[in-house]
Amino acid sequence: MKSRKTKKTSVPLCVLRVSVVKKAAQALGATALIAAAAAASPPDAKAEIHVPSVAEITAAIARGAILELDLAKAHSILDGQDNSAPSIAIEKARLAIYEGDCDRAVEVLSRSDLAMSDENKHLGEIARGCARATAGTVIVQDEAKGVWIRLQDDEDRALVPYLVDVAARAREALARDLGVTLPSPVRIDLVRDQFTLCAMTGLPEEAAKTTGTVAIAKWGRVTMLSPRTDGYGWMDTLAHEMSHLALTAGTRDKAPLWLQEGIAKHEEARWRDAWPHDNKPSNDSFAAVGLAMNLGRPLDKLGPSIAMLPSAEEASVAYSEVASFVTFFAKEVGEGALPRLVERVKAADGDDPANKALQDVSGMDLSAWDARWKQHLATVPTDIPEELKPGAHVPQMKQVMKLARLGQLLHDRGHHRSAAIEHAAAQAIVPWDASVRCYLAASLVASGQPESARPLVAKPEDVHGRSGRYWSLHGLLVPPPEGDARAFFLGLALDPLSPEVACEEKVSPETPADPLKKALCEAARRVPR
Amino acid sequence: MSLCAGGLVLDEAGPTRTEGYASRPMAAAPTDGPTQAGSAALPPSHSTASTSAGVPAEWLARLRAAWEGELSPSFRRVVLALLTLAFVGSALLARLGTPRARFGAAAILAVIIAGAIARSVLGYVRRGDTRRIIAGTVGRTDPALGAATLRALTLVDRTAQDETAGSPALAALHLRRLLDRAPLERIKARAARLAIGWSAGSIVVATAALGVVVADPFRIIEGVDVLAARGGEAPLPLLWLEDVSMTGTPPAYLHEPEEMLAPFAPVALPRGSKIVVRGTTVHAGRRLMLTDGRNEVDFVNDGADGVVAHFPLTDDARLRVVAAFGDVRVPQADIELVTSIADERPRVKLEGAPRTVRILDEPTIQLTYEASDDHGLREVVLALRTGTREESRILSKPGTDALHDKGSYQLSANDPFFTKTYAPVEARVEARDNDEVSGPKWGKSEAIIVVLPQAGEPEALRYAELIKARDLLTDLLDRRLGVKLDPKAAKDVATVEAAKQKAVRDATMEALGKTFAGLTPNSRMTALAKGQWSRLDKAMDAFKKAPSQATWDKLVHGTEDALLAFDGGVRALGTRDTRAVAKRLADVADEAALAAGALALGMDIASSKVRLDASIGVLDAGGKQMLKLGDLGLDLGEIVANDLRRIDRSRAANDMKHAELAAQDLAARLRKPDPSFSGGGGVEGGGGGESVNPGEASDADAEQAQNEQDLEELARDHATEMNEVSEAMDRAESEEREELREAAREHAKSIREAVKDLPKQGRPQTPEAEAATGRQEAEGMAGALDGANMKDAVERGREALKSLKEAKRIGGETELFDEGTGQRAGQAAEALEKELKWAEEALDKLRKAAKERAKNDLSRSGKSEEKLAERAKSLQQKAQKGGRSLDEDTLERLREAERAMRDAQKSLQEGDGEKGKKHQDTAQRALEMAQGNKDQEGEKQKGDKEAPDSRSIGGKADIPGKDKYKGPEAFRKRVMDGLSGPVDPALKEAVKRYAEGLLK
Repeated sequence: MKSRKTKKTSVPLCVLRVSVVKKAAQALGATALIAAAAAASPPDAKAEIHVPSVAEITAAIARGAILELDLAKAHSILDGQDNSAPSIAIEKARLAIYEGDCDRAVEVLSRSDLAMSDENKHLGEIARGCARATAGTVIVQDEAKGVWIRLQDDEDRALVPYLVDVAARAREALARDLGVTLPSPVRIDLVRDQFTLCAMTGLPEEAAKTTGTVAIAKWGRVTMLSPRTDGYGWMDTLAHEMSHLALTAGTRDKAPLWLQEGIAKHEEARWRDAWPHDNKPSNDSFAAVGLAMNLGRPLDKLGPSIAMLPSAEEASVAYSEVASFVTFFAKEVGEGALPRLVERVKAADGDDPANKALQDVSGMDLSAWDARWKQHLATVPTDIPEELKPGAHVPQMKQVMKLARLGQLLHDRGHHRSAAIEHAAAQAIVPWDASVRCYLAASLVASGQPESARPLVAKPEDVHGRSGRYWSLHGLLVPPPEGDARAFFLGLALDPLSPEVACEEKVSPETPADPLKKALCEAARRVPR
Repeated sequence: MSLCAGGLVLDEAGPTRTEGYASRPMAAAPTDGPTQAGSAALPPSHSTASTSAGVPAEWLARLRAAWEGELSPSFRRVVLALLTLAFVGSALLARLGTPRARFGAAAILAVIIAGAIARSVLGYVRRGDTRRIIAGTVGRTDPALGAATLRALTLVDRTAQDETAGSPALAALHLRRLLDRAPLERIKARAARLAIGWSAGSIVVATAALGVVVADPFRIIEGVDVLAARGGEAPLPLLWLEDVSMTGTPPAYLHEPEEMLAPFAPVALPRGSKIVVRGTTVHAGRRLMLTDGRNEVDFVNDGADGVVAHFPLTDDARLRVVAAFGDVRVPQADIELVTSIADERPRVKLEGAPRTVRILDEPTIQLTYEASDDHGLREVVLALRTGTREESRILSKPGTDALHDKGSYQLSANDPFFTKTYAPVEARVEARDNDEVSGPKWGKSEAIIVVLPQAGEPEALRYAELIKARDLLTDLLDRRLGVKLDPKAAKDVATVEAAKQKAVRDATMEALGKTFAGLTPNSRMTALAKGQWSRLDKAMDAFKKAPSQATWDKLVHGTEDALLAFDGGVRALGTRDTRAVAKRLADVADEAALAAGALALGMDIASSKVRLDASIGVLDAGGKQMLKLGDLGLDLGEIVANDLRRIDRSRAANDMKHAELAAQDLAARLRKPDPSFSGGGGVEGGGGGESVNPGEASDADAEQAQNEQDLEELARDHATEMNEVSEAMDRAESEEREELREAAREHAKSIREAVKDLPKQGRPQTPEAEAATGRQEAEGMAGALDGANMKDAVERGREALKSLKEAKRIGGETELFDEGTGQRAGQAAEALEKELKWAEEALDKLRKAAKERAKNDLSRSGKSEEKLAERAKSLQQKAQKGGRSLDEDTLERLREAERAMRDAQKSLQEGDGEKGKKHQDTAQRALEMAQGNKDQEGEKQKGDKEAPDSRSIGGKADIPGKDKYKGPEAFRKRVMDGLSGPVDPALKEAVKRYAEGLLK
């Protein structure tokens, strides 16, 4: 190995602020320990020990504060420090990115000497991508609820009240479940496409496309896709990503991937009450089936990100595995298991802090828990429908798509009866598919047969898959008390910018009475079709 | 002032005072005798009168008269002489003509005149100065008496003012007595002496002045004229040139002769003419010039006795002869008025201009022009301008100084100038004349403003047209889904449905055939539609033939499949078009970013603002067009609109840096024209099983792409195989040919000998003409034999023999007039026939030998040909199903190709290379015809890679070496062969397509 020269700090001690000097003194203690360890090491190893400079120690302390999302503390450490030390400059840039000030980060990172390492280069690329993607965008801040939202597309403004509400509820849930209160404001970047999502977070675009990534929690904020392109469970996704932020802050980014994703999946629906399609199929069953199909991976070998797994099937099994494991662990250990685990992970040192924390909290390490969990999985039912199994392939799916497309074409031309014929043929092949039921129900409604349409959307338990349109049609055709009173809201939670869903199946110019829903309906109608 | 030494006082008194005395009786004093006598003559009043100093006035008068009476005439002469000298000197000085000289001359005159006036004024002022008079007269003649007189005068003054100083009467008496003693005669004598000196001086001065004048009196006139000049021109015209003659020579490019001009008579000459003025100088030694007031040309010696000046005519001129004195010109009174006839700009008329043309409405603009000039045209160009871009194309270079030119040019929507241009283009025809005098001038026609489509507009129009066609197909399906077939009325249904189907087919094919601003029909989409209609027509035929529920159901399913395939094709085309448009708009977004960046730095503010506004306009329009291009277009079009709002927001806040970043973001996004979201479901929110995506219902586009690829690969591989066969045959023949070379040369000599006496040319339809042709062909045969090229030798030999026999025949019919050519041709034909026979036998032998030698190679090629035939068969089978369906024509071509390949296989395996190659040619032609006309879709036009989803390419593809694949070259050769010779029916279609391609 090459020996590394000890770097000298260019910051005189006398100009350091007292608080920083205190921190530095603590760190120097650590340095002394390192030096002592070096002395005890074999002679050839001594030469490789790098004794950090004061600037590097200060930067390390600041970095810790940034990872804990204590940005005010990071400011108090870094403000007034001389940028000439690369480690300080890098942390200042990092802090700027965490605060959403990408221009400032670009400015700091434009120094050529900072682009020497791959990590810094990567940081620079993210800063530049972020600066480009956020230029001229709109920022909406709800100071009372502590939520800061940057909208790449200002037409998404109608989603803001919902995002704020979900973020506030999720913050409460995380504080309750994990013992971590996310600092205010929670930063959310609502971006237009995966291109921007990747530019702002550093995720390779190919990986995002392979696994269908819609959101990333990184750099102290949630970056998520606007549901305008393609509806998805955006509310739960926000809660999921906020869980990542909380866990990163609560463990000082020491949580391994299985714990990160397991807790995030566990928490993604905890901000709200239960919804009809929750846990269907259950994570336990799905993981059990996935592992049996060899689509699973060991918990500690999930790679750098689930989004970077080679296929969407493997990613979905991995999510179920970690969610199932964390839920099992929490249930087995009992109340307070997760807050204690988070706390211990933060406190733990070494290569595998999570494993040590597991032992501290439960007396068992990961492999022991893994064995117990797998025993548990062996007991769960695995009779989930074929079409819901990981990587399920419906033999006649091509035919279904053809019939559905023919139905769409006929429907769009106003041939609703003929459209219903094609959709009915499709529905006969995949009676459980929510979207095909919607096509058929819509054609029937349009052809003046709402009574025939009603049974198609009456029983949510009959269908799989999440479809916003299913819930809006449900709300239209099966009103309370028989139907689900929250139907229209459930629709919004999945596809808020579909005009039928957002406008509660009302025909233009009619809009919902509620002003927030009205605004969303109008925004949905403005989306070019 | 030099005269002061003689008598300052009197000199200063000047003539005025002298005149003043002369008006009195005292003036007669000199004639009356000496002072005393004069005194006695004074009237009493005068004798008692006193000056203020107490000196009697009569005494003073007497003293002045005594002095001035002698001196004044001489003084006047001196003054006059000096004035004259000054005048002459000034004139000569002024004649130099420079401003300084003229100023000096004027100054001298002014000083002299001012001096004279000053002295008059001074003398007048001093005439009452008694003391100066006494000092200047008595004092100069008798200094002691003068001094005593002045003292007495002082005493008189004192006693007058101070009574204690003494008696004024006594003082006056004393003064009078002293004055009585004044020596008037001596004073006169002294004055006379001075007068003599002055007179002499005046004579000298006057003589000098006279001498100068006499030497060249005209110089004084010139000098005075120059001195009086205003604005560089003297007021008095003088005669400088006589015996004047003039000629005018038009510029050389007009090719007109020299013209004699009447001197100083108005004339009109072409601009650039040379006016030559000749004459004899009146006054030698002057610098004469010919001038129009702006330009001057010197007269030079003409080598004889006169002078000549050559004046180039530019604008209208008033030509005058002038003499140059420094900066001053003294003109001659004569004026030559010359009107310059300008060479006019060419006139260009562009038919229909001015007008505005929308390229979408008129994809081909016919520019018919007519240009003319008064003297000659050199060049006619088409000038295209938009923004800062400009291009000029030469339309014509007329012959020697042609006065008229006309022509036509077709400007098409696909013109390269229109690429990446979205602003209106100004098209003008401009003509340049041959004016060598003032430089070539351009005449411009009125403009035709070409309004180009917005980015993506043609694609959006095409898409809309195809969607309309798809809707018709959807309506047809709706109709068929609604039919409940009654077996009794099935035939009627068949008739009606066949008619409906035909109508929809015609409408879709018409939509597919349309062009939009140069955007041609899409070949893949056309092939797809043809294939689907072919399938549907078969289903319809089956239903018509046997109307039943089963055949009806097949027809309905066929309609469904056709609709899905058509829909898939249209949507895929929309996606490809969106990608192409996005990439074009990315360049525009880059331009916007550059402009915003320049504004952020405060550089080129005005032009950057214009560039930014223009770019944003193009992006806005292009984004709106994208919205009409299907799903991806909607997605990207919405992004364009949003990013433009971001740019606008930053601009409104005067934050150009962020405007630049937003534009860069848009450019980067448009360069990756992928859907905003892909991957199926969003794992972060939870995944699920396979989802129904109707957008993926049809793979027809990808399947058609596969057809294209398979066909292309088959044609390429077959062409390579053809090349292999040709090479194998050439190789074998060349080895055999070497053995024949020596013998062939001998036969070549014999042929040349046989035709050497035949004529080389002749009038048409005479024995000579035919014999000449025969000779030429025979010599060609000999040349081919020299190279052992037996095939060519035989072909040319046959042609030669035909011509020689014809010559003999014509010679026999016109025996009376023939000079033996027919007979000689007959003899040559006999000789040539023998040689041809030998060549044919040799060729046959050569082929047989070569065939044997190439047998193994040809056999291998036969096997390869068999494999290719199998591929053609497989392709036919695939192309009869689903989205890969091809139309009947294309399938027939494939069948034809397969048949020819199998024939070729047979021939090649039998070792018959020639025959095998002929079959291969047929197969290759069929394959190329099956490929049809390929268009260049958006991405390809820009040299981009094909979109990843537009083709499903799997497996390895063999890439032939550069020397192996000669498809295009071979095709061109075959077509050229077809064009140059009698049309082979098999080549007819290919020739037609090639010719059409040339016309395009």
